[in-house]
Amino acid sequence: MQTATLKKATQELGVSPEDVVFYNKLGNKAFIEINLKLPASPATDGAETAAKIAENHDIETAVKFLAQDNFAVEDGLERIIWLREGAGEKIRLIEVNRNGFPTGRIEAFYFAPFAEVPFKTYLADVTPEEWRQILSGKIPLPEGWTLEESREFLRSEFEVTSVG
Amino acid sequence: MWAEAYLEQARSDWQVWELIRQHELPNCHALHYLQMTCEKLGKAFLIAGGTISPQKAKASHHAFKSFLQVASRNPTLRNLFKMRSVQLQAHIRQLLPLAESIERLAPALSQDGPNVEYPWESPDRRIHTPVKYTFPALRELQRPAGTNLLKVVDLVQKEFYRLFTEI
Repeated sequence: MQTATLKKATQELGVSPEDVVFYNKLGNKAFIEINLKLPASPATDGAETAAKIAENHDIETAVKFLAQDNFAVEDGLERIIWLREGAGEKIRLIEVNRNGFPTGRIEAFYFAPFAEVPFKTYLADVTPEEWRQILSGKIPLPEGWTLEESREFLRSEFEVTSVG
Repeated sequence: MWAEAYLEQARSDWQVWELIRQHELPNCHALHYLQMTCEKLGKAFLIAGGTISPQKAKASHHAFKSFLQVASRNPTLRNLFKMRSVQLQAHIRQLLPLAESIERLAPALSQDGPNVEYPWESPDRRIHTPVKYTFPALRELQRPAGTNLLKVVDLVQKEFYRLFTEI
């Protein structure tokens, strides 16, 4: 298993050869499977920002935190739309994701409030094509959701660096 | 109410999956319950999101995979896994192909091919039965990605009320 190809592959992936649990080479392609390990120390994502946010619980700051965080996590995200009108103290986000699965509708998932974002959050992933269809009205918005007064965040607006 | 109902049924399916896998029965039966666990969990998450009615959720077979796609953006889940965001994203991406394979075990998504419930005909005109078929997903479940997927399924059921619903 300790072939030159495996050594090169683990170097490129930045993993230790000890973490490799499956390796196979077919023609000019190498298949490698690694066992991900939990970090030794707790996650510290955005800890400084979290502390600042927790102080004032400002919804706009919380949304910006989420946007920054989500752009960093998901490299397929092109834009994030914050639907503010009628949402009250809830955060409704449509995230346009090149890596998303097309469903032909808006399927939001609920995230409970947490320290960094102490607001109920509803997040829906759509593909760029679905986003075009939403804008043209072919895909309807869920009841109570509206694009009026919505705000768009583009990846380019954020200095996206890996937080992992 | 509907989300809790789907969760309750998913948890029961999960118990049956855990029970059956300990016995020497045809693998299709255990896989059937795992597939149903994932399907109902996905629907529970979807309904809890509030934009899809229970009637529309009923027809959705990809909800669990859709949930996994956004799960890594949930910081609370990251803390639960004690992973950093990029780590959890990589972790979950590793699980997506297997999650999709499990979803496709449902007859509705199998495109008249291998599924865990009904016999099917292969292109060479042979008739297959689930009880005699060796499902590739089973082998995958014994690999690290499979173990990790099962851990996620177990954990999100347990943490459903705390993390994924307004209740």
